[in-house]
Order: sequence, then structure tokens, then C-alpha cells
Amino acid sequence: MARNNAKHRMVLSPQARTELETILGARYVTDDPALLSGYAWNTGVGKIPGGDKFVPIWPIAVVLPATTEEVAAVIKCCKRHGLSFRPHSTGYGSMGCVTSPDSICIDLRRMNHLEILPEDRMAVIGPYATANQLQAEARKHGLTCHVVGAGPAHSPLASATSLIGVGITSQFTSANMRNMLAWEWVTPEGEIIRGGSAASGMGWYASDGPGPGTRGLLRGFFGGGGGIGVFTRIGIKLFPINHQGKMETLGQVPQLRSPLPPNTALLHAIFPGYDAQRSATFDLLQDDVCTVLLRMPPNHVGWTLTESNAEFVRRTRDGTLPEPARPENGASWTILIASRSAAEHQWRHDTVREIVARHGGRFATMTPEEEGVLYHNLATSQYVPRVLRASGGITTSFGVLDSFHFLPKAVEMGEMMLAKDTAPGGDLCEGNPDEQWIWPHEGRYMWAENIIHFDATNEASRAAGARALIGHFAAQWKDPVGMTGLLVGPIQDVTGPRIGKAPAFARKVKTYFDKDDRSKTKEYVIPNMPPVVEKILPAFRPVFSSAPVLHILSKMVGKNGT
Amino acid sequence: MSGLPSGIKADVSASTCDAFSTDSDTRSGFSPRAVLYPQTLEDLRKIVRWANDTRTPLVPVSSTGPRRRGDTVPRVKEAVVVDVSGMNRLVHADNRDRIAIIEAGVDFGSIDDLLRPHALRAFRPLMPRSGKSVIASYLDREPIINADVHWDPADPFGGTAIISGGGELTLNGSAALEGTLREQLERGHRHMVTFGPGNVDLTRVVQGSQGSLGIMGWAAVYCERLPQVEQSIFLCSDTLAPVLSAMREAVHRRICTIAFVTDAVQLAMLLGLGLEVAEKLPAWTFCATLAGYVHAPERKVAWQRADLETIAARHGTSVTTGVLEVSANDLAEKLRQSGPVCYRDLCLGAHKELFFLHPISSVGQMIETQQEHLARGVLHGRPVGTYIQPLAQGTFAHVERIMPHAPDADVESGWRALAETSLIAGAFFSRPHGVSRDLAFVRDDGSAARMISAAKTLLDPHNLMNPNRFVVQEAK
Repeated sequence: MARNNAKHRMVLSPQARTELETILGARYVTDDPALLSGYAWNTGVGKIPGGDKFVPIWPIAVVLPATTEEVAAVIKCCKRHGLSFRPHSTGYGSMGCVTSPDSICIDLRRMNHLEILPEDRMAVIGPYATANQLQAEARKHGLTCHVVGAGPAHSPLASATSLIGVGITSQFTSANMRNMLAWEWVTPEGEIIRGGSAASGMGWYASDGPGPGTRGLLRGFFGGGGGIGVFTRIGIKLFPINHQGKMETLGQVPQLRSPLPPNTALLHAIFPGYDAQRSATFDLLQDDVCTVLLRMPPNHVGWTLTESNAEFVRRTRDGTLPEPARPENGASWTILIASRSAAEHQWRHDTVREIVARHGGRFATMTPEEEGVLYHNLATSQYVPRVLRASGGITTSFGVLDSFHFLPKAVEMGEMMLAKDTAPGGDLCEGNPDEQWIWPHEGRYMWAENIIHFDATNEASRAAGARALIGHFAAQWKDPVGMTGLLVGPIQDVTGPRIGKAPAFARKVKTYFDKDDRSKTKEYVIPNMPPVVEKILPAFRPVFSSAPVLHILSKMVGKNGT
Repeated sequence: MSGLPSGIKADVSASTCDAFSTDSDTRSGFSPRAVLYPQTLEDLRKIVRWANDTRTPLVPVSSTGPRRRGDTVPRVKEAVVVDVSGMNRLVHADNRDRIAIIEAGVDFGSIDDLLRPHALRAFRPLMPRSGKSVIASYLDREPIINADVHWDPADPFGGTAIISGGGELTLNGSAALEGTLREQLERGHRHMVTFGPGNVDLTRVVQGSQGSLGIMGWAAVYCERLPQVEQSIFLCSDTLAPVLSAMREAVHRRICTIAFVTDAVQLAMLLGLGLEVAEKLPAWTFCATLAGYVHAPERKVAWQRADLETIAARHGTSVTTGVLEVSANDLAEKLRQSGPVCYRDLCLGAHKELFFLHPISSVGQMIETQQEHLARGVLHGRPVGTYIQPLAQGTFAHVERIMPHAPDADVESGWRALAETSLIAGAFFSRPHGVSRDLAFVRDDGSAARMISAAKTLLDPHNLMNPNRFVVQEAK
């Protein structure tokens, strides 16, 4: 067992330490506070942080396994000693932090396997292969990977197995819950299970079978968020691009830019309104005309195209921001067309121009440097760090997954949630009335997420962030704008029938594989909830979404964080 | 068994029930006690709840006409067949989003007629028979021939409604919304997302389960717009490698929609020309269809054709618009027609099939191994066709070997030997049917058995849905 020390933190028992050191070697087991602090850093990315630099719960130890077998042995050791655990891949944001005082952190950084199989347009990766590394290796073969919104530092394995998986190039790179092929998983009991072709020792290409697609027990729109064991290896689909080799980079950080390869165009279409943008979108999605479509709020384009916050503010005031960054140009698409042949490119280019014109749109004028910056960020998904720059505090909500029919309504509801606090003098970071990032998936449906920027050092701003975050759920409960993707953890249970039987089934899965709740997280369903509570929780939605309760909850979150 | 659920049409006649005790390649089943004919999702739920109350095994069936592969033949006594073929409505179709909601009984013989008024058509597997249920086909992960839009094995499903074996109605993917289906559609929802919601993906779990976990009542399915311009061509070669590599490049670039490779025997069967003409056909053919749907369709098809010809030249294949007297466009048209009998049975009256997944990069070696086996085994001299279908946009392939034979031919042991050789060579039997029903689990490290057991426990706790369907999940 772990025991409490003088500071009320649990510490590793000598017996548990000895066993862990036997499994991994002493070099790969630590409870040195100086090192543990690196696993308790309160960045708050994707959440609302409290006011402290560190999260309140630290891991009692950090271990670094190198193999799947070592992960399994560590988990069995945890079970023997009554410890919980939390897997940690690249540690983006504070979602990798442990959530219970009896948890150790299983840092997977030594498991960085990365193997490209170019002829089958796939790779085999471990948890610490980053999107950046995977993309760089894939590009040598004229391929790329899907990079989720978190940016190139994230672990594609983690996004495919355990969290969300959507990203700005989803029009042609899908999303990682659909890019995941065969998989390997260590259950919360320490059992090693493989899925698809890997279970038969036949490689990492096929995700399902023999028989049922049992992966669906472990991953839906969300993965288990570290609450259902540890994923250790997957096959992942890659996507052919029209350029082979290293991406040429010009300029200096932060304004890195890349020249467009041959038969490539980056356009920024501006529409007279969101109804016109919606109509145009339905046309742009036919015939696979566009490689990427991305709607960023104008201020986010501005943060990307300016070198510093000071430059952004100055150019906002003197009215010299580029057209795509001006607030009146919110109804817009950044469009990437990437072709192989001149004839293909001409057809795509002409078609896009004709569609935009037919729906009353026009194309913004940009300098080659601006075009190069947008292209570089689009191809590498560097936008998140750029957009974080404005305030340092960022979270997101809605996650609308449905027909583009809902595009105008998504923007309208985005405004309803944020406009008051993003206006000058509001408690959030000053910005656009809505902050919806919108893009299509696979040429079919819409993803829209409303970004919430707050000042992480200011309690009132954090509270406003929390108010907006919870307010989004309340708004969706009242008047759904398509399926809500971003329902992480306990909010699913309050949402109730809005997402069918998913939380109840996920709870059954959790209980089946982890009856003692050793794999602890806040990003999964609440374990062991009595059926009666499960049944009545949704009835409290009006209470949770009432103004006084919203106010109190926001204050609490603003003070203590989530 | 204590009676049958009230208000549901039932047939307990021996002739009806006995017909389910076998199918064309399964001789060892049991006759069910009754066949029930639900008409609505609520009927389905009522039946499954009744089955749970009375511990009655259920075997769902949604297709009509000749059946095979054994997944609709009860493997336990006292089972009741749930025939959903009467649930055959098109609930909704939307040309703008290229999606339709269909019930489980809609079949390939009727779906294009239902969708045509909406300027849509269904994604199809290779020449399904007319009575084959569209949803059953997709549920079984039968590959569609449109490689460009096959992103993931869950395609072409969107949101779905499933009654789990435990009797719970689950709305899955973006179908998990408040209100009735009608209300959801009126609000503008189109159920375009298959995964989720939340942390589980029950559509994916039920896919490939062969009726052993639940019954799908309806599903949103992606559709194809009717093209304005469509052009099909053949890329041919005497050897497999050039054809395969040309197909791979074309599919990776997404410059054709229908894309698959056949050998001469398979092509003869598809063209309906008779096996004797196989020797006059190209040894290997990549069948490609280019489609222009909305925007400058002639120009689109023109550049695709030009690029495909460049690819053909690069890989050393010849390009032709027809073979013998049949054009590639004729074949594309045939692929959209469904007859009552499986095309594989038309030549000699019966057939054997063997299908599995394999990386495209090593399909050539697999075929070589199989051919060597066939050349020296008891099947030597018999016609065996080859169909290679790229999946997940060319990440891997469905490989299918088909041997037409006379109904009384003794080919069982020879065919099993081919399957065993294929397994040793790396065939992944992701859909355990027929000869691969047990072979699929021979190389399993225990994971598949463990996960199927978990799925059974969680979705069908009383083991009522198609019991004993998988060799690793026997009824207790």
C-alpha cells in the first residue's frame, strides 16, 4: 500500500517500489518531488485551471515502461498494492495528470515505436510517437497523418484510442477514431489484448474481427481518457499528399511559412452571410473538389497572421489587418486545393471559383507571405499554439457533428454563448462574437467547436470561461444543434437520453474490465453509479442550467479549476 | 417456451420452419419453433424482451431468397427466427447530404428504385442478389466496390437503431438525439455520424456479429449521387503485379470510384459469359469507374481518365474500354443490377467461397501461394476465380476466391485445404463464415475470444442472440 507523508501526499511503499524496480529497473521508477512536479503542471489546456501553478493531486510515483509486457506487469503490481494508475503519453495539457491521490503515473515516453508501411499507406506506432514525428516520416513517402486540433506535439495513438481525434484537415484525413487500425491494449487488470489482425499475429492493418468490431466497446466518439487501461500500439492510416519529402520552411518563428507545392492553391473565400456560406458548402462538398475547408473566426486568423499580440492589437486598431482577419468577414472558408496533375488542378480551381461566385462570395486578397503562413499552419496543424497565444487559457465546447444544415445556427449559438464576454470590457479574452472553428469530415458532415479564451491568471475570467463552458451544455440541452461531440466524463450522465444509452453501456464496460476502478480518470463515465442515480440525474438538467446554479458552479470552477 | 409474443405475426408451420434448418452450404442446423414477422422497431423490442423473459433463443434474418453461410440457421433447439424482411421502408432520403434512412428489410433489388426519386443510389457490394438486405450486407462488413468512399469498415453506416440482445433500444452515432425520428429529421438532423456517442460505438460492435449481439431496426446509410457522367475502363495485364500496383495508385489518389481487380475466371462470371471464355480474357483486370456528379462532370472525368492512363502506362498495364464483345460500361451497368440468384451460382449451379483480409502490398504473394496449392492439390484443373477489393481507401484488401462447381461435386476437403494453406500464408479471416468459421480463431492469441465474450456478456447477457454462432462463444 501507499502511505501518507507529512504533507498529506501518499508515498510509495518500500514493497511496491521494490517490485516496480524489479520490473523496470531502478532508473525508470521515481518519486522524487522535483520530477513529480513535471507531472502536476497545471496548464489547463482543454480545461479551466485553478489559480495555482500546480494541480492539487500529484502522482505518488512515475514509472517509465519500455514494453507492453512491462506495462502489464506495472498494472498488476498496482493491483497487488492497491494503487491506481493513469497513463501518460505526450502529456498535452493537464489531461494527463493523475486524478486520485493513490495513483501512479505510467509515462509511456520510452514506447515511441514508429514504422511506416508506405505501400499500404499506414504506420505502426507506440504511444510516444508524436504527430510531428509521424508526419515527418510519412512525408518522405508522399504521405501525411491526421493531426488533431491539439497540434503536432500530440500522440496520434492517444487521440485514436483514448480521446477525441478530430482535426482541421478532416476533410481529407478523416479523424483518428476512424483512422485507427489494429490495436494493442493492456486492460486495467493487466491483461494484454490485441484487436483486429494483430490478435492473429498478422500485422496491424485491420481494425475489426474476427467477428464483431469489439473495439467499439472501448472507443466511441471519445476514448476512455485513461479510464480503461493503457493502449500500447496501433496501426494507423496515412493519407497520400501531392508532395513527397520535407516541407520547405521559410521565415522565423513564429511566422514560419511554406511555399505551396505545384498544383496547389490556398484560397480564402468570404461570403455575404452564413446562409450563403451554407449553400456554397453543400456545393463545395460535391465531387471531392476541395482538399481542406476550414472556417476560423477572423480574430484567430489575425493571431496567426501577426507576429505578436501587440501587432495584432495595433493592426486591429488602425484597421490594417488582412481581409480574412477582419471581424466583418466571419462567414468564410480557407480552402486548400492540392492536385497531382495540371488538368486536375485547373478543374478544381475553376470549380471552386465558380461555386464561390455563384453563392455571392469573393476571395480575399492575401500576400504570398500570408498565404504561406496559413498553408504552413494548415499542413502541420500548428494553429492551436498560435491561438493559445492570445490569453494562455483555452477550452472548447459544442463539438457539433451533423449536417451543414446547422452551420448558421451553430454560429448563432456560438455568439449567444460568448458575445457578451468577448466584447470589449467582458470577462473573456476580447475577440469575435462567436469563436466557432468549423470544418467538414470526409466530404460529408460538419464539425463545429466554439473556442473559449480566458485569462488563466484571473479568477473572474476563469469563472467566465466556466460559465461559457457549462452554458454551452445547457444551450444544447434546450435546443440541440446536431449531435454534441464534446461531452466528456460526467456531463454525459446529466445529458442522459440526449446521447442514448452510451454512458450506461460505457459504465458496464468499465465495470466489466475494471471493477475496482484502478484506471482512474475524470475523462470517462462515473464508475459504479447506482442505476437509480443514473436514471434521475438527467432530471436535474433544468437545475444545472438555471442562472443561479450556473453562476455558483462557474464561481467554484473559476476558483478551484476542473 | 411459453407461447409467442402477442400482436406479432407468426408462422409455426413445418414447411416454413424447416426451411430455416439448412441453407445452401449449411446442413447441420435445427428447425426453429416459429418464424416471427415484426413490422416496426417497437415490434422488435417487444420480441427481444419476450425472448429475455422466456429465455428463447432468437435468430434474426432480414434477407429473402436463397440463404448461405449459416448465419441464419439456428444452432440450438427451440429457437425462434425473427424475419425483419417486412420492415422494408425508405424512411427518409436527402440528396443534399447524400444520405438515406432505411429499414432492415430493404434489399438490393429495391433500394435503387426507392432512392432514384432523390437522385441517389446505394453503395453496393459486388453483384449482390436482389433479396439481400442492404443493412445485413453492411452489418456483415461485406465490402462495397466504391473504394474511394470506403474510409473505414463501418462505412457506409451513419446513425443506427439497434435492439441489443438484452432488449434495450440503443440509438447510435448521431442518431442518439431527443425526440422521435420524425422530429429529429424535421429539426434538420441527418444522422450522418456512425461512431459514438460518448465512449462506445455499438454499431461497430454489432457489425460482424452475425446476429449474435442484437438486431438493427433501421440505419442511416451514405448514398451516392446519381452521376451525370460515368465512364468505366479496364486496365489489363498478363500478370497480377502491374494491375495491382496501378489499382493501388489510383485508389490512393481517389481518382476512380469503383475499383477492384479480377482474374479471367472471375471476370467471366461477372460478365455472365460462361467459364469457357475465361481463357480469351485478360489474365488480370483492374475494373475502374470514373464518375462526375455535379461540377463540370465531363471535365472531371476527362482529367481522371487522362491521369488513369498515365498510371496505367507507368505500371505497364494496357487500357481498354471493353473485352470480347462486352464494354467496361456494360459491366458497370451489370454491377448495379441484382438477380434473384447469386451470380456465382449461375455457371455451374453452386460455388465455394473463401474470403479474407490482407495487406495490398503482399496480396500477390498470397495469390501465388494459393495457386501453387491449387496446382498440386485435388482441385487442380477446376476454375477458381479471384476478386481483390481495396478497402479503407487502399490500406488493405478483401481477397476472395470463388470456385463454381456442380451441386453434387465433392470439393469440401479440397476447399478446406486451400483455406488452411491461406491461413498459414497470412489470410486474416475477419468474417468467420463457412470454411473459415473455425479457422478464423486458430491463430487468435486469445484476444478475440476474450472480447467476443465481453461483448456477449454486455449486450446479450442471457446468450439469446444466435447462440453458438462463433466457435469461441458457445451457448451455456
